[in-house]
Amino acid sequence: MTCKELIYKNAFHHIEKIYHDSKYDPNIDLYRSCDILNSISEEQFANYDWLIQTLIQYLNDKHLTFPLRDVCVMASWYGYCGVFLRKHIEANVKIWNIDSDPLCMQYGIQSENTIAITEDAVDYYFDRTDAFQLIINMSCENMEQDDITMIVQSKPIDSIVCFQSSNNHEKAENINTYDSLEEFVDSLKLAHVFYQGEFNSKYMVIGI
Amino acid sequence: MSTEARLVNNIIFVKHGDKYSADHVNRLFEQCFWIWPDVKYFCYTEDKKGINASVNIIPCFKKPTLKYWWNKLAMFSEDFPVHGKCLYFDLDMDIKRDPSEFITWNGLTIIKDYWKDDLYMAPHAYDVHINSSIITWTAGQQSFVWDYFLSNKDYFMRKYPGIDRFLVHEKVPFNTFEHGIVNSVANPAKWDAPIDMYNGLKYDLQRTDI
Repeated sequence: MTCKELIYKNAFHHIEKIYHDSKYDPNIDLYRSCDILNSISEEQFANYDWLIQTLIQYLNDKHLTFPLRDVCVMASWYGYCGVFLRKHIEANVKIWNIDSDPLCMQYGIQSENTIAITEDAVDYYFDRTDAFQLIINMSCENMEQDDITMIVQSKPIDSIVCFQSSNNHEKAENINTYDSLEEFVDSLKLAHVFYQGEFNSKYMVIGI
Repeated sequence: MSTEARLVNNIIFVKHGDKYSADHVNRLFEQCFWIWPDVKYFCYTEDKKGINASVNIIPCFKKPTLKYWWNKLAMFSEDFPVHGKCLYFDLDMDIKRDPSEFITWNGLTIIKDYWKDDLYMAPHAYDVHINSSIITWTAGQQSFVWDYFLSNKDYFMRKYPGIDRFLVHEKVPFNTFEHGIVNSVANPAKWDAPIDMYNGLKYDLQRTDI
């Protein structure tokens, strides 16, 4: 089964269950099915693909100065980024999917060495800043700028960050957007930028 | 003025972004001051420029950063620096005469949308019959609303296009004002309400000079 098939299967299973349960339970959150659908939209899949295909070019001895053991995916939503990444890294590497939404754990995909944690991603990270060799954040636009700055400043010097943000200023939850890729790159103040790029309305930076 | 309406300690406005200007704050302050001259006035804003000096500025919290109407929920935070009975007005309210006969403090109290009574609302539309353009509460007694919002704010902001739907569908307990406090300009009432509300419409201030 491909990653995409696995994700679709998981999502449709949960959406069907939400519909079924809502027939008998007035407290079922119907919007959750819409949120799951949004997480597997064509645009989201294209973004996952862009991120993974770009990122794996830097997960090698040239760019990683120590073995990849623990990956932190901040604000991981239903954990689908981790599903794609898992195909390209060793089975014993742990992927820590962190999201404050408690139901992401229930509706997401977990597997051996892919662990979902319900906690504020920033708080979780700051309790263990030395733990990760790779930090992924696909929604910097939803996070405070000074938190993002602190993440970069507090990480081990050789840990790779792969951060995305956007220029979508309109959404209420987008509290930290940028007018250009250059502005986003500058805001991160990385010691070394391996990659910077733009795709649809998203910006992505990989570096240390 | 009703006995209870005399109890108001704070009248609060929220201005965030550029949909409304300092002139909207000042106009509403003047309308309120004529009715409630002895209360404290506050504006929770990230931009105090041009706001009447009689209105105390409460700067928007540095964290969490919120946009648009979601900033209204910060008024319920334990860290919001007011004490006593609070009365909030949206900036697109036009107070034509003293609304005190309708103003009560009974937990969290908001407006009932009279014009939505006959509308069909599918459960998954999350539409509501209430409106938070006017709110009363006692400072510090609704802090659970703010805390609960923060517990999963990104999801709530995706799910609900405004705080009214958040309050209703997350089952926050509330009461509503007596019928008749407002007239919706878009859905005119059959009664002479003391307050016109422009809910969702562009609200341009009347010109006051040549």
